[in-house]
Amino acid sequence: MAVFLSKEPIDPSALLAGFQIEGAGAIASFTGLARGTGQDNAVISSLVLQSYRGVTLASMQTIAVESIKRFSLLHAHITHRSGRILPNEPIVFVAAAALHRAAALDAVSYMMDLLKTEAVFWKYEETAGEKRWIEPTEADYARAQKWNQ
Amino acid sequence: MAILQVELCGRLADLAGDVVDVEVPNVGINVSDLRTAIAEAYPVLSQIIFDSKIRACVDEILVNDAVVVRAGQLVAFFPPLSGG
Repeated sequence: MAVFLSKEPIDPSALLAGFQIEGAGAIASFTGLARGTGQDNAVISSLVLQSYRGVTLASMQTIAVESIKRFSLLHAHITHRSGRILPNEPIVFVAAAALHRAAALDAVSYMMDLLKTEAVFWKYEETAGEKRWIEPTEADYARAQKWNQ
Repeated sequence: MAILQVELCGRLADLAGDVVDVEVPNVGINVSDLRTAIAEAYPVLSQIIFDSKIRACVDEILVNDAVVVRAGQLVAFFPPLSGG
């Protein structure tokens, strides 16, 4: 398991290239990017992610551990940005290595669904002269909840 | 009485700053009563601090409202989380 909280820009291509897991039959990954426009098409100048002491990293580690258990992964990786992120910059990279395709793909979805609602972050968009906090939508909570059914 | 420093995270900090001082009994106060003390001392937080989505964190562990906290402990309130 590898879990990192980065205040600096991250390079998903390099992270994926380094995700070489012996014995894996499948590797799946996901990269989340900062969007340049908001829900009302407002131009976003930056996205700011706040974390809290050691709690944020611990929450990410919990998600990685649970994904390994649930999907019998060989390895899981989460790297998440904090701080000010510009449009098109990566926010998060997750990867899962498993024996088979379904487990790797499901594990990536699981980690992202829980990162959205359980990882200890707060984020806001900055537009021209405005700061707008972003919280999970009902759809985000529903996606996370489905893993408990 | 003692002063408990309470950290406010996310959008809560926009309302009253990153840290607020709250006077609490030396023997401590449970999180539910702490919410009331905060509401009384900081009217700008008087509505939101009672929102069930606002969770308390004590010494870096999320806790329920029955937990007792004392001055010197690391206490924070979290609005809904939003990573990814």
